[in-house]
Amino acid sequence: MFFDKYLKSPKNNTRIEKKVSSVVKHQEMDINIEKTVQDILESAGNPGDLINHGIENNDTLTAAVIYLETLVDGNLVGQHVIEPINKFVRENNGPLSPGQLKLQLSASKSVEIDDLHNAVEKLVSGHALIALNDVKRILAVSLPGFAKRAVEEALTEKLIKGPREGFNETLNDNISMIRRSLKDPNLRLEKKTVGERTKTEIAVIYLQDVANPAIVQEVHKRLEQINIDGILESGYIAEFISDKRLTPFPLVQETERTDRVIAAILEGRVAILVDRSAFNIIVPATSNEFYQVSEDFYFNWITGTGLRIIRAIGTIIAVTLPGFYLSMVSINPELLPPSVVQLEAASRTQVPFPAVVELAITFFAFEVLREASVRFPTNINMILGVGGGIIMGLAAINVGLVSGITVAIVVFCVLATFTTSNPAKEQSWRWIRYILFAAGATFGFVGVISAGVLVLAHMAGLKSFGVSYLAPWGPPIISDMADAPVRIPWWLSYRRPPTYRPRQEDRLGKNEGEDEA
Amino acid sequence: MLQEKTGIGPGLLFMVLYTGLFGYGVMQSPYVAARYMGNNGYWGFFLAFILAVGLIVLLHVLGKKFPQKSIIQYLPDVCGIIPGKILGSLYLLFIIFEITWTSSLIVQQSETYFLFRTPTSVLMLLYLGISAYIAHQGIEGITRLAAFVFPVTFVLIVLSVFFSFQNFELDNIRPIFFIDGAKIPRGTVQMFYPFFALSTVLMIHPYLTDKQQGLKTMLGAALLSFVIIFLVIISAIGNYSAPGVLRYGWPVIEVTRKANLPFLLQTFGLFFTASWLTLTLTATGLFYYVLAEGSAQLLSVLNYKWFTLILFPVIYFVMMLLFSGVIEVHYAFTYYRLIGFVLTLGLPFFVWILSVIKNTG
Repeated sequence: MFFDKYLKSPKNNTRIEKKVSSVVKHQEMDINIEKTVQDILESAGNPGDLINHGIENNDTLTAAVIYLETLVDGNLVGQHVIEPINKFVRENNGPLSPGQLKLQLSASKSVEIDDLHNAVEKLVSGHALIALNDVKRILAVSLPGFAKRAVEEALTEKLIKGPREGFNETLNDNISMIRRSLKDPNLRLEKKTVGERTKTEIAVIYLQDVANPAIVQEVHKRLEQINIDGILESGYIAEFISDKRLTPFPLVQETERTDRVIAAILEGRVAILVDRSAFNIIVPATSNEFYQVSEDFYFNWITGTGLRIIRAIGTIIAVTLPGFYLSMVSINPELLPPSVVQLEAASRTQVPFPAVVELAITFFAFEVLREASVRFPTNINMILGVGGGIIMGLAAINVGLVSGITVAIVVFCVLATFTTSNPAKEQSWRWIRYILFAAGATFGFVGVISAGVLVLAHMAGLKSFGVSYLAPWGPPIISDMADAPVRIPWWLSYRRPPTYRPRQEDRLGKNEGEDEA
Repeated sequence: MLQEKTGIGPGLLFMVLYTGLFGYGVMQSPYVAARYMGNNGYWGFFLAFILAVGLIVLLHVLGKKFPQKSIIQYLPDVCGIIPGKILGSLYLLFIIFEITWTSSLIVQQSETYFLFRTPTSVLMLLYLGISAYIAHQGIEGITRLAAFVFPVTFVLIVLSVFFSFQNFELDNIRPIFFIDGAKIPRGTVQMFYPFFALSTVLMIHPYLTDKQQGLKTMLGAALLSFVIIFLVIISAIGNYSAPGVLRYGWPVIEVTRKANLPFLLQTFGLFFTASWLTLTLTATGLFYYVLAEGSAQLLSVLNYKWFTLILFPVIYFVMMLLFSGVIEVHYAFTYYRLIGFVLTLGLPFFVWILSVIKNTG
């Protein structure tokens, strides 16, 4: 179709030629250390936080250490770079070769560079550059020293039982948390840089002997095709690599829980960790996945099953209740029992608006309250959020602007939306609710059903990295279906979900499954 | 991108066929049975099922003969280009009839029970629009939708039918073994219409990944639909008797309303209607897709996605003709079940005979 090129991710295999934003030319370093230092300073724009520490021997510049004090730990530079070089120069009184330099340094992570462009990139990425006299190459040493958040509990996915640690915004910290839990030599980690200006580091993590190679390859391909100046959060990546663009549903799973990522990797899925983002990506993702919480697996399987069912019913109610309520109040009241009709009619006698306007006003008020409460300062959030909501709700009922039933329905729906265990999915249901709302107001009961089928049809057309979004229900994957409404007990869960086409279907790797899901 | 799968497994075929067979078949079945055969009209449906088994075998054989081709593609090989194209057009015309007829059923039912003040043209636009969107998702999307809605709708329908037996009177379905001349055979022809949905297999069989399972899958879907529709007929006639059934415009809804769910909702009929509506919309999406895909293959231009848009005004126009009271259209549709019987059974049989004689496939 004509519009497909705008609405779908690119299907062709042609690699998009990336534009280079940096003005620093690719050129060889000068043999003269002063010229080299000058080139680097000019290329970096000689910023205020740049430190250029020269080490001289008999009034001759022997070495220069250049770094950004806001990104590099100055103490570590002094201790592991400047001090050893000073000592060598004092003791040997001669020129310093790259080999000798490496022997002197006690920093473990260093790389040799002979290109000015690469050198400046390393500098702005938080490396200390060491230039030597009469040497064309320079050494970039990683000694990071920037502010970062400590490992804290995942704010959007809190649990009663389970590990408390959530991801923070530092890629290496996040990788370390995964490695600490998954001590398997088959764990593969491939790093990439995305974003022409932000140079955001991302890491693709999977189990080599479990994850489907086609999916891993596809992940790499889609990441390669990203062409943007800056990546500030994993949401950018998620939007770029999703199979379909015109959909409200999340086609990748974003989470800030480490245990969730580890469980996904064990299932044969691929994790994409993004630097500067506490939310990391798991692919492929099915709709079913958004109703599972790590806690399901930590509690007894009966409790886990109960919680899953509550979550699913909660979502159905949150999405469909306004539409059904409206259809039955304004278009098909004959579908309600007479006692309920009487109750409803009695509560709305003083309300001046039709039900649809009343419900729309109440929903809008709650949406405003919700949006505002996110931005309230923490100390007054509770008071203004809850207090304001209660006072406003009661006042609206008392003056007869809205009925009590309407407020009850709106509050219940807003609360029930949060039973979805993923913020992105919760947001999508939030908007779908209004489609059903409009359908119910226009075509009554039939409208809600029709709109529901429309939404399901849309979901049926979605895929996440080649996996059906409605799996394991559509297509029906019997062995996986058992683990969808119920939480299958661990003593029965000896196979990985075939939905994700793992190379090893058996969790203990006793046999290899076929790729046929 | 990963290779787009355009195949459907036996499970998906089963569910999409069940959706079509049940959705298109159930709503009129007690009425037709009672009208043409009386109190023991269920025999007509039983005999129709036996004929349907023959049709399924025929479809399976044709599927094996032409595993990678749809009927539109192999008709020119078997019959010659011009007759093949004409027969293909006839098949697609029948599909338009199917869509029009069933959409009109949904519209009428919705007008009767839910939206008596909404203009018919708007309702048609709504249903056809949704069906077109479903068709636009392609065979995979349609079958996945059918699979997703299957468990819930199946449970609700079975419960509705089960509870509807509470006022069942055995006398109403008697005499069981009374053969009144040609009533039963004539009724069998009329009662074959639920199996018209099997004609979609002629188009979607090439997408079946495991062709060995085709026969079992089709038989399973037909059997399941048969059992439930059969129970609906028995329940409706058993509750109201044949003359009673004929008094109602929508006996199936009336009979499922017998199942009460006190204090929550007045009747189970609502659940049944919601399930039927879901299944029928999905099935209409399938028929629409078959029509769009068939048109694209017949004319060898564009693809099915374009044809879902191109055919929209055409189907809408035919639907409006039917509803606006054009006498010729009404007259043509009175023969719908008869023409459908001849085409659904006759076309595959004719093609099979010809392919055997000409040794093609």
